[in-house]
Order: sequence, then structure tokens, then C-alpha cells
Amino acid sequence: MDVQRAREQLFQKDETFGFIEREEALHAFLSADVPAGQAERAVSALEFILSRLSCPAEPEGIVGRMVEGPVPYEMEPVAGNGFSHVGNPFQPRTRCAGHLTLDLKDLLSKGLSGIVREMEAHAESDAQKQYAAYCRRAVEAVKSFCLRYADSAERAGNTHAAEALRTVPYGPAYDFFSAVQSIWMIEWVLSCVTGGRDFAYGRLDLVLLPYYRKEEDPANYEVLLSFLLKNNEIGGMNSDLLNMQPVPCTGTNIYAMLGGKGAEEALPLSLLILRAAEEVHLMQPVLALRIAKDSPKEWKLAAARVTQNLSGQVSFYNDDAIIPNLLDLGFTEEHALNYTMSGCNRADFPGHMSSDMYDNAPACLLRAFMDPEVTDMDGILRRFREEMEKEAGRKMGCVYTDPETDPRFFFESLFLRGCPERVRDIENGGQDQWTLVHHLCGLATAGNSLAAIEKAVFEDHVLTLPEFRELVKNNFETDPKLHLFIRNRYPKFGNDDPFADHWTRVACEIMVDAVRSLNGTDGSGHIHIPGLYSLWFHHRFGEALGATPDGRLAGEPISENQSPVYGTDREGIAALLHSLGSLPMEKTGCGGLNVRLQSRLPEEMLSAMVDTYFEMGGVNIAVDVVSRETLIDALEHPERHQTLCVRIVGYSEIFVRLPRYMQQELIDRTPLTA
Amino acid sequence: MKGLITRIQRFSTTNGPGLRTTVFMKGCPLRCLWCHNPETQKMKRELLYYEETCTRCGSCAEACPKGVHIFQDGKHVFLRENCVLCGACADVCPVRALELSGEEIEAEELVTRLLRDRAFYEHSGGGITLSGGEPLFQPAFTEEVLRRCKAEGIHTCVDTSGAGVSCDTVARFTREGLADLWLYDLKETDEERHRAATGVPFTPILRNLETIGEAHGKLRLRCPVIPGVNDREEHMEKIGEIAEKVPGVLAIDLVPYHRLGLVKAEALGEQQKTFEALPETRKKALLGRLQEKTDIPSSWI
Repeated sequence: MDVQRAREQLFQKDETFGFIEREEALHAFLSADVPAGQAERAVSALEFILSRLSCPAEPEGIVGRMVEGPVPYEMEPVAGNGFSHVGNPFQPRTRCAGHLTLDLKDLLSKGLSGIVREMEAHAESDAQKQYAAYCRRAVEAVKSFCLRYADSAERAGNTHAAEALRTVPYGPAYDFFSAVQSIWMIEWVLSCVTGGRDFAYGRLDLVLLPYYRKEEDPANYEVLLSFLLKNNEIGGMNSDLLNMQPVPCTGTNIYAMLGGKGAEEALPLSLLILRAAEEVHLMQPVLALRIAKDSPKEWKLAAARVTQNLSGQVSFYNDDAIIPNLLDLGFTEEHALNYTMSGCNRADFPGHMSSDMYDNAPACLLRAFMDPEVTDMDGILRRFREEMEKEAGRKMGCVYTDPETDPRFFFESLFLRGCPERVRDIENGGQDQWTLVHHLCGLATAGNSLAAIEKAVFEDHVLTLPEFRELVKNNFETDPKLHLFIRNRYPKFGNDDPFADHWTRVACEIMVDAVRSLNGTDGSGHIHIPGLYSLWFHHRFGEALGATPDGRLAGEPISENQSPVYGTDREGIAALLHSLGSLPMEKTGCGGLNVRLQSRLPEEMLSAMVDTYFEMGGVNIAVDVVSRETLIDALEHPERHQTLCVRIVGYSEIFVRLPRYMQQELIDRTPLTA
Repeated sequence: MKGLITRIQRFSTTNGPGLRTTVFMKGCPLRCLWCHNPETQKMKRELLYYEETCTRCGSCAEACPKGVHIFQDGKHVFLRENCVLCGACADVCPVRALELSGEEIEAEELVTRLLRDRAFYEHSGGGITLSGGEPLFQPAFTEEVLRRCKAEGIHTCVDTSGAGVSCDTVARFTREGLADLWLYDLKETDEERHRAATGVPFTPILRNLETIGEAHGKLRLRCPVIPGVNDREEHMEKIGEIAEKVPGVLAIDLVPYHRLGLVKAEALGEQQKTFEALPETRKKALLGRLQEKTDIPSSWI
């Protein structure tokens, strides 16, 4: 397989092109009599679109590709319609828009037909029978499409794909190739046809292991190469915030979890996937590598090698922290052991829908600090806790419609636990809402602010609390010298400084406890999982927030993920990790830490660093290796760095295709040297 | 026992095996033309002033009891000769343009700080490295730090120039197992050139190296290669010959010139000569010449 050529084609493709055949099919579908009712409309649209798509096939490897071309319609994309220019017959949707981990085991062992047969057998009520019939129509449509694709593959000389597609995904997978082909076809239909992004594979090595065992063939490596390349074909190569490709799965981030407890037997396959990912060297899928203290040395070293070679595509998750943390939050042993990650940094479980929300800690702290009734630190902390509890307790809408009166059909329901058993779509309550991940934003800003208040007002008596409030309210304009001093010289989180770390720990306890206190008390039935993660909300929240006591000015971003405020961690990686290790990570279930190394470390050293950090209780760490000088050069000479991948918040992107403010943020991220 | 240090660098990967913490100690008998750490040369505290960082806010002038910081026509004039090194200005500088170099520290306190990263050492086969400056310039302090580290089971390296110290001391350190590994500088192998480049003779350095080898010490040679000073084939050959002759040499590191010392020298009010970087082809040729003389592993770091 010519990986180099495939990569070049991806980098050269026109990012203004949409899935033209889908658009045309949608146009034709919506121009005729459109059935009323979401379920009937969605199934009919799926049937119609699949019948109209052509089947471009490569001569080798797995197949499944969208024809792309300029979208002829003059109009702008229809808002909220996943970049269709003509409308979206799959609407309305309240919950299903991707961002979940598919349960692929049943797909591979039973095939679509097996899943639907069970639904038909379980269906009792009219609504269930009707739903089973919708599912039957959908899988038959997929089957017909795959048979056409098989013929096309045959014509292209790809007998392997032709043979596979005559069986899967309709029937069970029978070897490694067919298993991978089956998974891709489902990912592809969900992402490109019905339209959604971030459908994660879960523990990919374990999912594929039975088929890998059947046939340990050197050709498996080539299959993986073609599969990994395909993951990069569909969502566009541009940043999901700039020049997004006008396709329904634009900017998709497809997470694959590898290794960890329970995957020991899959080690050869896990390593093979890593090797293939290194050769493909693109952004998708995002690799989440589970590491336990007793993981094989070979796995740890390979992980350390790959994370530096792929620079940003990889992150490590600590089994020894996350599994007990999830058990403590109330998950079963089976779930905790099989945790996975989807959509950036969400603790997830195959086949379960979860939701997430972003909680703004610095805004809560600022409200507490500004309360004129408060006169001491205890008062500030009490008010901060109240504000955090309010913030975390915001209600998340979760509306199921009645299957009798408003039946729904979403293709992904076939891969979600509960829906096949209940014979009910996810939007009709096929699965109970189960987990809600709270991404707690701005930890370091909050911690540094508490430290600054304590030091300035209560320890050094530089100014009184009302004076400090006034100074913060006027954006530090009345005392620029004190502002500089607070900003640059006051203790800051991330330096193994006991004072700053203490106050950051205090902030962190309040933040995570506000989330955990909802468990079993808010009447939602959800398990609320706290995690320290910000995605891009550190910008959004920062823009709307006034100055904070740590010296951050109004409008500046709050701190990102678990990171210190950029530029304030001056003592290097060991100090940074000690600071993080002092946080109550055992109360969290996920979260992200990005560190950027100025230059490569030997694999043994990086692995030792991760082991040490995880022993301290760290939950996650992602390392990318790119020097500040390289980033600055890429900013000035983008033509020289067309393929430079960098870690952003929870995944990687091509540096030169990011908006300028993000590029600057990455340059500002403290480079760590060793 | 107190010692004088400039800084503690945690998570260092180039000063011995594994992940290490390196202590840079103050005081050095050498005056190398290219010195990478000029703030470590003198055995006393010093104030570094980074002019480019200064915002001319005037905080230092307000704090200074001796009036050594003067602001004239928007310029910050630092009267170094009148400075009593109290550090009041560095404490209040909001942008760290002023930095007091030289911290007096008890050996026990230093070791407590070093033990903070014990887990990193244990996971990586690392430990601590005493560097500088010249750690053997403060022999009693260095000895106490090393003894305490050994008592804690921590791997120790001493990064030394081998100058200004007696054979007896290095022999004793080696025999008593205080230094698990010596990072031993070979800056120049020609006697006259050595004096010209560093200000001290080479012969005693060579003798100390041999003493360590004979006492069954483990050695890693560290050879800064400075264009126009010692980037000669015959120097490389000589390094190879010495490495072959002295027992216990495990590896040879060629250390490229870098300019970080320039900024610090300027901040100390000193002038340092600048050198160009060696082209990659030249680096390769010099390493090749060294490797012709010895099979001991060698590389550029």
C-alpha cells in the first residue's frame, strides 16, 4: 500500500468540496413528497440516499468512500443541519449526534441481520414491531448498498473487499479483513450518510482480537493501514474551527482505545495498530492508550515511542487511577474495567450515550470574591462552593419522545445497549440517560486566584479585600505595578510550590465535590463524572469574564484543561507533575493534561515519566514534541510545515490550518526541556 | 554544613543515566573562554541584571537600601560596584529582570529537595548529579551531600573539571563509593592550549582522571568542542587515546557549544567571546576521528 501517496492526496484535497452525491440525493428526496414523522422520513432518506450513491473502490484494502465535489447550490449551509445545503431529513434530533462509543462486538459477532432478528423476536407492542420494521428496512438498505459496493470492488480488482462486502456488515465478520471492513462501513454510514461526528470505536484491539487470532497474517498490517487512512478521508483535514469542510462529519475525531487491563492478550494486535498508525502518521483516529502499573514493558515503551513519533495524536490514560475512580463513582466492575474515551476527553462505555457540560470555575470564584458580604477566606470558599454547586447543578435537557405518538429512528441506536433489547430508538428512551460528564474549566486560574487573595490580603496585607475587589474590578488599571507583581511573582500552580498547590487543591476539591454531590441527590438518576478539561471553553469563558485576582486581565483565556496558566510553570516537568499529583485526581473520572516537550526523550525516560506521574495519581497525560522555534517558523513559513501535527486540547490538528489565536496559544504553551 | 549553589535543575536527561536532578554549585577554578554557566564561576553571590527584560518600573530603586538602581532619561543604570548583594531589588522586580544567584543551603536541606524526585529516579534508573561550577571546589559540602544521597540509596554523579582538587580527594570519593559515576571534563588535551582556553594546567587534571580510573571509578568523559579552540583532529585522537588508557571509561560525550552563557555573562556585566556553531559535517568528521582511536561508545549530546 502506497501510504505516502495516500497521505499526499489527503493533504492536497479540496476542503471546500462536500459529499456531492449525498447532497444531490438529499435534494431529490426532499423535492418529492417527504414522509411525515421523523422515523419514516429518516429510514426512507437512508434507503434513498444509499440507493443513489456510487461505490468508488480502491484496488486494495478496505473500501467505503464518499464522492466529493463542489456543491452547486448557491445557498449557505442550512443552520443546524450538519452542513447539508438542502436540509436534513434525519432531524429533529435531541441527543444523537455522534460523540459516543459504538458497541461493535455485536455487530461483528451477529451482523446487522442478527441484531435486527433479535429485535423482531423481542418486539411485542405495535410500536416495537414498527420500530423493528424500520430497523429491518435500514439494514436491508445497507445490505443492498454493500452488495453494489462488492461488485464495484470486484471491478476494481479488490476481490478481498468484494468478498467481505457480500457478507458484512449484514452478516457476522468471519476474518480480520471482514471485521475491519464491517466496522468501517458502519462508521462511514453513520458519519457520512446519516451524518454525525465523533463515533468512537472503544477498545479497538479487543474488538478485533477474535478475528486477529483466527488469522495472524502479515496482510493484517496492510488492512490496518487502509483502515487508518480511511479515518482521515471523511472529516476534512482543516481545523474544526476554521475552514471546515462542508460535510456532515466535518472535523470528526474518532477515538480508539488500546491496551490496558484486560487487553494483555491483545498485545501483538495493539502493537500492530500502533505501528500502522505511525506509518500513516495522520490525525485520525485519536489514539487513547491505557497504561497500568503492570502493563507489559513492551507496551509502555511502544506507547512512549509512538507518542513522540505521532506528536499529538496519542494520549495516555491511567488504569490504576481511572478504574478505581469509576468504581467509587458507582459504576460496576465490568463498566469500570472497560472504560473508554470518546469525543475529546469523556469517560465513556461502549454502547452507552452520555452527555457532557462545561462548568466555569473562575466565574464562580469571581462571583464569590466580589460578594461584598464576604470578609474572610472562609467566606470566599463558602460562596465559591455555593456558586460551583449552582453551576454544576444546571439542568441538562434530556427529552424522550413517546414511541407511540412520535416514533424516532436513528441508525446508531442499533449499536447502543438497550435499544435492541427494548426495541426502541434511543430518542424514544431505548436507553436510560446514564452518565453526565462535567468538564471543569479553569482550575489553575481559580487556584492561582485563591492563592493571590490569601497572600495579598491575609498574609502580606498589601491591600484590603475591598481594595483588591476594586483593583480587579477596574482590570488592575489603577495599580499596574502591583498587577505585574501579582501576575509574575505570586506563587502559581505548576511549580511544585506548596502554597500555590495548596490553594489549587482547595479549588479543585470544591469543583469536583460540587459535581459529585449531585450523585444520588439531584433526582436525575445520572452518574455525574467530574473531569478537569476545558476543550476550547477556556477561550469562550475567558472572553466573557472580567479580570481575576491572579492577575489575569479581563477577556484573557482562563487556564486550559489541567494545565498551569501558560508561561507560569517555570520549574520544569517534574515540578509540574508534582503539582498535578497533589490534586484530588482520585475524585475525577477523566480529564486532560497536555505537555509539550521541546525535544524528544529516550523512550525509557518518557515511559518512566508517565509511570511516575501515574503513580502520583495522574489520570491522563498527552505529550507532543515540537519546539517553540518550529512553531514560530510554521507561523511565518506555513509552506514549510504543511504536515506538522500538534496536540491541541484533546486531539491533534495540522498546525498551519489552525486559526491564528490557537496557533499563538500553542506557541505560548510552556515548552518543557529536559 | 552549608554550601553555595546557583540552581537545581529537575528532570534532566543529559547529566548521567536516567531522569536526574542536577545541582549547579558555585565556584570554579577554571575560566573557560566559552563558559556555559558564568554565574557559577565566583564563590560568592552575584546579581544578574537582564536589561532586555526590565520594564523600567522603578520598583528596584524603591527597594534598594544603597541606591544602586538609578533611572535616568528612561534608562535603568545599575551601579554594580556599590551593590551589597542583599537581594531586595530581585525580590520586588515584577518581571524577574534582576536575579540573585547563589543560595546558601544546608546539605540536609538540599538532599531533602533532591529526594522529592526520588520516584522519577527509581522508575528511570536515574539519580542526582552535582555539577557547577566545580562541585569539588566545595569538597566538604559535596561530600556530605553525596554521603546523604548514598545513605538514601540514590545514584550519584559528580560532573567535574578535575581541576583544583587533590588526587587524594578524588581517590577517596571513588574508593568510598560516593560518586557512582564521574562525568569528567576533557576540555583540551594540549598543555599550553589548555592553559590558554581555561586558565589552568592540564597535567593535574589528567592525573586526577587516572587516579579515579585506578581506584576503579566509573567515568564518562565530557568533551566540549568549541570552534577555533579545540575542534582539532589531534585533540579527538588524544581523547581517544586517554579513554583507551584510563580504566573505567564507559562512554565519551562530545558537547557542542551553545550561547546560553553569553546572555548570563552579559547579565553579570561581563563580556564573553562568541563562537560559531560547528557544521554538521564537521561534527561528524570529528566524531569519526575519535571513533578511529577507540571503541568506547561516543556520541554528540
